[in-house]
Amino acid sequence: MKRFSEVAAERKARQWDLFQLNRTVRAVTIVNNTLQELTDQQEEGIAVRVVKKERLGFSSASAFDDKYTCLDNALAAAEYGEKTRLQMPAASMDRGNGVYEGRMAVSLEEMVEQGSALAARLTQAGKGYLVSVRIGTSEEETRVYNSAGLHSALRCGRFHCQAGCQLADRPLVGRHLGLWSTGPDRLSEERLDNLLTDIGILEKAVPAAKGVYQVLFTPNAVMDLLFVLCQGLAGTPIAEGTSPLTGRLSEPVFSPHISIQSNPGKKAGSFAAPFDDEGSPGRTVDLIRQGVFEDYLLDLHSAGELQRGGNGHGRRVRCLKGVRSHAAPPRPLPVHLDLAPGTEPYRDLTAGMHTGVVIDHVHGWLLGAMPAGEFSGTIHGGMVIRRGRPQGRTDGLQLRGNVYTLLQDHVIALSRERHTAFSLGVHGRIPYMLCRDVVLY
Amino acid sequence: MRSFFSSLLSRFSAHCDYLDIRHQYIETLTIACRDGRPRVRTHLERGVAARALYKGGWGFARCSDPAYTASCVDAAIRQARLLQGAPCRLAPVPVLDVEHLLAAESDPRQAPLAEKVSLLQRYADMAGRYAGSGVGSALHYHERVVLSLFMDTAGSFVYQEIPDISGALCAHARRGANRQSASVSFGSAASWEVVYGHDREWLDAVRLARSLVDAPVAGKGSLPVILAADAAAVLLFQVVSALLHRCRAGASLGDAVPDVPGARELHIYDSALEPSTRGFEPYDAEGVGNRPLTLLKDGRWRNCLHTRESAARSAVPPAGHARAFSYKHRPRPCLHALRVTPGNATLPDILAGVTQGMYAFNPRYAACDGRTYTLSASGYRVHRGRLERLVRDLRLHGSVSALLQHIDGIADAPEIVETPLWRAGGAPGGMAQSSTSPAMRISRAEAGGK
Repeated sequence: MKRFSEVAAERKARQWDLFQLNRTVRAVTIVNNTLQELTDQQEEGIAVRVVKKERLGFSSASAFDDKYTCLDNALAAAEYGEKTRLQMPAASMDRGNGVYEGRMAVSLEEMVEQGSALAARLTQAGKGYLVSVRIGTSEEETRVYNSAGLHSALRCGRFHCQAGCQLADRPLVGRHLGLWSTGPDRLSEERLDNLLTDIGILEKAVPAAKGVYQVLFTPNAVMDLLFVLCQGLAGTPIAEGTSPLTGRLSEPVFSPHISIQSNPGKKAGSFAAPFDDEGSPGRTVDLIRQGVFEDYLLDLHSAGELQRGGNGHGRRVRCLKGVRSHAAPPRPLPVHLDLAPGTEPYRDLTAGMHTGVVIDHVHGWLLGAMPAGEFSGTIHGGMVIRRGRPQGRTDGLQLRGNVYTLLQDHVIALSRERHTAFSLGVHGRIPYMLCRDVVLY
Repeated sequence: MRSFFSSLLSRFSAHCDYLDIRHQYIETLTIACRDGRPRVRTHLERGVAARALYKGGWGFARCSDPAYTASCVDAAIRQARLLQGAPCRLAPVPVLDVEHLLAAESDPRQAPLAEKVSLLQRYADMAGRYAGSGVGSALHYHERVVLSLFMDTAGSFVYQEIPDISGALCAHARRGANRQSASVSFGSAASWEVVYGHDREWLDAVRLARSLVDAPVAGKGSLPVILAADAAAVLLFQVVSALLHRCRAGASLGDAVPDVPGARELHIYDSALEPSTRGFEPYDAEGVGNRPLTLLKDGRWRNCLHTRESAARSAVPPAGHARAFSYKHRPRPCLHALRVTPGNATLPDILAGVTQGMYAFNPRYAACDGRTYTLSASGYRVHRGRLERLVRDLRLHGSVSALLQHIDGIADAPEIVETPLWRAGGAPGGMAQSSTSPAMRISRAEAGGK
């Protein structure tokens, strides 16, 4: 890096950082009860970011050998780049070459065996469901070097296991669950039983008219909502004035039931790390506390714009895939969200619903105007509840709304139980959420 | 590179039934310009993918360093051996030895960055005149040049250089929670200069965004809808993609064509051989030459998209639709440039038959799951064959089968526009695809305002 630093100085880059990623992914994918794909990928890449004349330039490449080309491209981009006040973290902020967890020691053959056993467990339910399973490991090594002398290195191994069942005659109707951990793990029997119970209920179609319902969002659905919300909790739109939360710090913006914390160090989160993708130490941040907007997510650039210290949420994540990528410039995004649980068990929430729908997934809802908090899409496999009892599924109803309005005016209660959920690179421990007066079209 | 891969193929061919190697070098430039503030990104990428077939089992491995190609091939063969026994064979295709080189005038990398940035800034300045009235601009330019080499154990060698240029000029206006946008989009596989010449359309879009803020929300109800060419292109692309995807999901059933009938007048086909449009790709990721493929004609689906594997299963010849966004992805059946053949009515003819209806244009997004669709757009109320009041937040939804069967009027050629799929919810710079359609009338559709 000494040579790179000298070249950058020669070319008048006042500040720079270089991010390096090496990743190996192995996975087994079973689709429709058939072992369909094995994945074996090796990937590496670098990204160079420079500040020249107070303007920001970014460029990336897949080979470390291209770092000087990358530097030149980043400098060319900086000619037209946006103005920035970012300060690269100094060497004293280096948390010291942390090795987070051990290497994943699961072979492809073992994953095939585990995946087949899990698929057999679900297939043996005997209802002719389409079973899908994905088991995989990824090992990532990231390094950040910068002009302030920082050199942080992080190696992490992740294990993920996802399983789902869909109805054979209605492939869009199904239930999925997953776990992401830092070591080989298994989905609990209880969660698998719950999945089979739910899919059993969904086999029966029940007519449900358009109208106003109580809606119970499952942790998967709540996580999707929180992903939309995160777009407004990020420092960048707040600094630009495009977030609906701009200028509302310390104000009550949501129902008092809502408390959200971003916890980058949480071990259960597969992206958890002592520092972010810019080398800044990750801090736990109370974003919403009992409905009051307390803090926002900051990367170095947005922290500079808001003239605050960063809080270690600069992540390089590819937008619609949710995986870390060297080709994505850092942006403020949480690693692991904790939505505080309520007091009632999930079963009591459904038992208390007179006429309602349990929603697990809405097809296409991330296509709405996310900066404004809008979501919109079609419900497949919504579970109809009447007098507290699940009746069957409803298909084709449309859900449209705004996450800010929903969390402010419609939340009745959150469940005591929480599950791990995942949406586009953000993990969370999320309870069920019961809402009133939700219009389904 | 050719001799290196050739020696690898010879070395490993005895260990599997079929092996192919794809090497790609990709250069990407993205310029985003928000309210006149440009942001430039470049990305260089190279990598190798190896795919092996052994007794019906597929293996796929990739690496971003060509030096690891041998271990990548080895990993693919190991996977294929683990998966052996699956029923899989490949449709026969001609062995090719071809090169498709990029003409200098088509290479967007030849144009200086400063010229591209200043052009976007000029569009931003045009919108800036309306800045006082709450209108902002978000402009995007994306270029991607892919140099791709394909070789397989059958002896095929295909080298092609394909540029893909796309972008959109989006004007947005806001009043409180009421956010509106209007855009002009463009795309080409021939020249970056496709970015030029949108001044009039762009100013119209800026004015439209501003007007939409004051427009009333579209009403609800079941009524006739005329889809403008842009809305029709975006919606039909989503619908056709979803139907074909659903077909593939039922691959074990024999890759039947979609079972949803369409209107007799509707003729939809796909082609990758129009050099000026996005989706141009003479050879696919399996080294198969492309040919135009009729998808829907005379109310019936005629064909499905195939890889060599699914083509063999369905006993049809592959038509070059196995596409991969980059070496990181396996080839999958994918549309190139969707085309809807024009009808024989003029737009006034189509409007004339409508007493009370809606005209949908300026699509914001469209989604389809294979059974139902949603389209969000702007609109005009239609009264006695005339466009009347502008309305915002028009949302159309309903079943796909009703949509395709209720198309009862298709406009003639002059209404055709080339629509890159930004507005269908696709990300800028995604798979090079485009869709072209004339305006059309749906005799009955469900409309609902915000």
